[in-house]
Amino acid sequence: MISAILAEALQARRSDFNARFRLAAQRYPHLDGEEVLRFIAGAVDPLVRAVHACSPEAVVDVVNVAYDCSLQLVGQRLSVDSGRFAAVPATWREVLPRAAAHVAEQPARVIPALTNAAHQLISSDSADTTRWISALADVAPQCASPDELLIAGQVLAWQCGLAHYREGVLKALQSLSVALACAVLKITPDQYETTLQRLQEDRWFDPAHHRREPLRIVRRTGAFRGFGGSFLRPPLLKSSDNGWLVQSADDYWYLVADAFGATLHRSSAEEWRAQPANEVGHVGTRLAHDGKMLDLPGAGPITSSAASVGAIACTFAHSHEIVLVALK
Amino acid sequence: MSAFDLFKRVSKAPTNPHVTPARRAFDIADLYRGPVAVSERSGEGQELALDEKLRQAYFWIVNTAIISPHYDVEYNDEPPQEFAIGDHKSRLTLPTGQSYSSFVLLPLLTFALRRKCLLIGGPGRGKTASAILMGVLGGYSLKDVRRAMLHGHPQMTTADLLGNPLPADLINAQKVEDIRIAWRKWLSMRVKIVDEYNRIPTRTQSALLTVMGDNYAELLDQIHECPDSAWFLTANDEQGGGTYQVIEALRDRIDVIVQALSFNPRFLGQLLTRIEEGIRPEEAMPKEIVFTEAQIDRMGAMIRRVQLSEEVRRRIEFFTSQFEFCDVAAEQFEYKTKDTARLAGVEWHMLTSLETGKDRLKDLGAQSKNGISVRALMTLLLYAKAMAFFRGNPAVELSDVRQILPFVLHDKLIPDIDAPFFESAGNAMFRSDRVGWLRRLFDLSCAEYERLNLDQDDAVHALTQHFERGLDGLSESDTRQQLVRIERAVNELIKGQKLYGHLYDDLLKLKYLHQRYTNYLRWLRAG
Repeated sequence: MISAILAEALQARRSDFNARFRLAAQRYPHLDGEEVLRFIAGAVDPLVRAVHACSPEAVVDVVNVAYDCSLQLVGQRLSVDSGRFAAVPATWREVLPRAAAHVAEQPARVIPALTNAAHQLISSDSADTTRWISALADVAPQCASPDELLIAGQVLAWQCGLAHYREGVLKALQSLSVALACAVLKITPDQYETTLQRLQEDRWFDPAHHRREPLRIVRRTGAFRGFGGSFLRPPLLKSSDNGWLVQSADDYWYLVADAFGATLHRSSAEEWRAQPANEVGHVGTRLAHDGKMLDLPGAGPITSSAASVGAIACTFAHSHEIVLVALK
Repeated sequence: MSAFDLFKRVSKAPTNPHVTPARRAFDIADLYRGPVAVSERSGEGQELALDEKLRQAYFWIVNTAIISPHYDVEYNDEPPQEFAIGDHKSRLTLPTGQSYSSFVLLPLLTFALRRKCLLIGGPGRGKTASAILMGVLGGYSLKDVRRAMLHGHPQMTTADLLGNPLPADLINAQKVEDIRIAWRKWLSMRVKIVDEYNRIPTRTQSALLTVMGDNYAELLDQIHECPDSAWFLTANDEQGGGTYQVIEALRDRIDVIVQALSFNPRFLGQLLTRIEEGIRPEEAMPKEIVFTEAQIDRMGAMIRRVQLSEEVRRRIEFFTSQFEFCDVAAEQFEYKTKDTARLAGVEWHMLTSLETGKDRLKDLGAQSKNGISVRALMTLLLYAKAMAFFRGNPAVELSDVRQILPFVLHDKLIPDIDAPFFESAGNAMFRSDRVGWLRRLFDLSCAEYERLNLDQDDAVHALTQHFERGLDGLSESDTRQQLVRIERAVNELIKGQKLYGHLYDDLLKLKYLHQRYTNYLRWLRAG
C-alpha cells in the first residue's frame, strides 16, 4: 500500500511511467513488475512522504527520478531486502528520507549518488556498509546543502573501509563546516584542529582509538575466494608506492590500507615483476623491525613481508589473510 | 527527458578497455558512480578522449540506432572458435576480440577522417538512415541534415546541385562576375549526403566531381569554396545499375565502399519497440556523442599521428607490388604494367593468353585486371590509422590493415574472374564476394612475404637504408662499392626466379638506387 501522495504523483504521469517501464524491460530482461511495485512501496514511498513534508512542490521531480532509479535497481536485481545487496534498499529507507530536503533540492543528483555509494561499499570486501548507512542517516539532517551531504557521505565511506579515498577525502573534509566535520568524525570541536592534523600526518591514526604501542596489528584483510574473498591461494606481497602489490595464483592486486580499511585493486603481472622484492626481517612466525619483535602465530610461517606507508604487511603459509602491522 | 532512456543511453564503461599502467590516483567522485545513472550535470566539464567518444558513438549506433547484428570486421585476441557448416563448409567464426560491424564502422571512420564513403545495398536497409546519423553526429540538427541531403534523380541539373544566379543580377549585371549566386546550403556543410548518386545525370555528375575532388563549386565564373567534409553517398547498386552510369573519375574519388547487409529478423522485437514507442533514433542521439568542429579537426590530427611500423608498411608494399606488373604489356622494363596495356586498348584475354611459364595460381597479380593507385594506397594508410585510433591503439596492427583493405580496394582492384584462382575448389564464391576475396588476397600475400622471409632477408631494404643515410661525404670508392652491391643484388634476385610483381618492383627500386649512385659518381668525378 502506498501513500496517497505517491499514488497521485504516479497517477498523474501514468502513461509516461508505463512507457518507461516497457523501455526498461527491453534493456533489463529480468525486470519484474511485481518487484518494482514492492520496491516503490517499501523504499520510494518513505522518501516521497519525507519530501512532501519539507518541500511538497518537489514531489513530482523526486518521484520522476526515484521511479527511473527503481527500474534500474530492479532490472539489475539490486532491490531485494535480503542477501548481499540489502544495503541498497536500506539506504533508500534509512538515509534518503533523513536527507529529504537535499533530495528535494537535487533529486537527480542525490538519489543516484547515494545509491551508487551503497553499491560500491557493498562491493568492497572490507567496507562496513551498515555503519555507513547509520552514520550518514545521523549526520544527513545536519548538512546544509546537497554538496555537504555528499562530502559527508564520502568521508564516512572512507571511515567505513574505503581506504583508497583517503587523500581525496582529507582534502574534501576541509570544505565541511567545523560542526559537521566534528559530527562526521565523532569528535568535539576542540579536537578538530589536532585531529585533522593527525589524520594528515599519520595514516594509522584513528580518532576513536588512541592505542599507540609500536608493532601493533592494525588490520587484517583478504580471504579465500570460496569464502567471499579475493584470493585463490595464500598470497605473497611486495611493497609499492603508497601500498603493496599482492600476488595470488595468477591474479595480481594493489593493496591500499590505513586505519579505517584496506581495499584491493587489480594490478598486473608486469607490475609485479617490475617491482623488486624488499622484505622486512622475519623468522618463522616472528616479525622483526628496528630491534623490536612481534609474534604472529596461528597461520603458519610468514611467507612474505614488506614495509610501506608506516606499516608492515605479512602473508602466511596457511592463510589467505594479510596482516598489517603499524610501525609507530 | 527521463534519466532512464533506452535511446539516450551511452556506455559509461570504457568501450574498449586496454591494459594500462595501474592507476594510483583514486578519485572520491568515483564513490557516486555505479549501476544507477547519475544526472547529466555531474558529467559536465569532463571531455572524453576522442577515441573513446568515437567508440561510444559506434556502440550507440549499433546498439540503439541501426539494428546491425553483423560483426564482419573480426578481431581475435586468441585463436577463435570456428565451425564448418553445411555442404559448402560455410565457416562461422566466433571472434575472441572486440569485433565490429563494417556498415557502421566505415561511415564512422569516414566521418572522423572527413573522407568519402559509398553505402551500397538494396532499398530499405538503412543506408540513408546511417548517412543521416553521421550528419547529426557532426552537430547538425536533424532538420538541417534532411534539408541539405541531395536526392539524386534523372532530371537533376547543375543548378539543383550548386545553386542559382540571383534573378535581379542576371538582368542588371554588366559583367559575368557581377552575377551573385545563391549557393545551395549543403555546399557549406561539413557532412554531405548524396542519396542515390547513381541516378544523377552524367553532366551533373561532372559538377559534383569538382566539389568532391577539388572542394569548390563553380557557376557562372563564381567560385564557392567548400569546407573539408565527410561525404556519404548511397546507391542501390554500385555496379552501374542506377539510372546513369557513374563516371569513372567520380567513382575513383570514393574512398571506401561498404555494403548494407540484410536485416536479421531475430531482431524484429527491437523494431517493434520503435514502432510502439514512436521513437526515431536519429531524433534521440545523446549529446555526449555529438562532435564539435574543433573535435573533428583534432581527431583528424590525432589519427594522422598514429604510428605505422616498418613491418606493417613492408607487408602493404609487398601486397601492392603484386598487381600492376604485366610482363607481356611492353618491351621496356618500366612499361611492363597492366596500365600500359589498358591505355593501348589491348583486350584483356589477349594479354592473359600471352602470359606463359608462370604459375598463374601462385601469381597473385593474375587475379586482378589492374594495379593499386597511389590514391587508393593513401586512403588505405589513412583508414588503417583511423582503425587503430578507433581501437585505442597508438600504432597500426597488421590486422587493422587486413580488416580495412577490402573496403578501400572494393571498387579499386578489379578481379579477373576468369583467372585460375577463381576456378579452384572453394574459390568460386569469391567472384561475388569482393570483401572476402580481397582479404584472402592479403592473407596470401602476407603468407608469401613470410615464406620469402623478407623481414630478415631483404637485400633491397638493406640497400635502401644505406642510401637513406645520404650521399653527403660518400667517397668515390664507396659509391663504386654500392654500385657493385646493387648489381650483385640484381643478379641474386633474378637467379632462377620467374618475374613476379614484387620482384619487378624490387628491380625497379634497385635501378633507381643504381641511377642515383651513378649520377653521384659522375658529379664526384666532374668536381
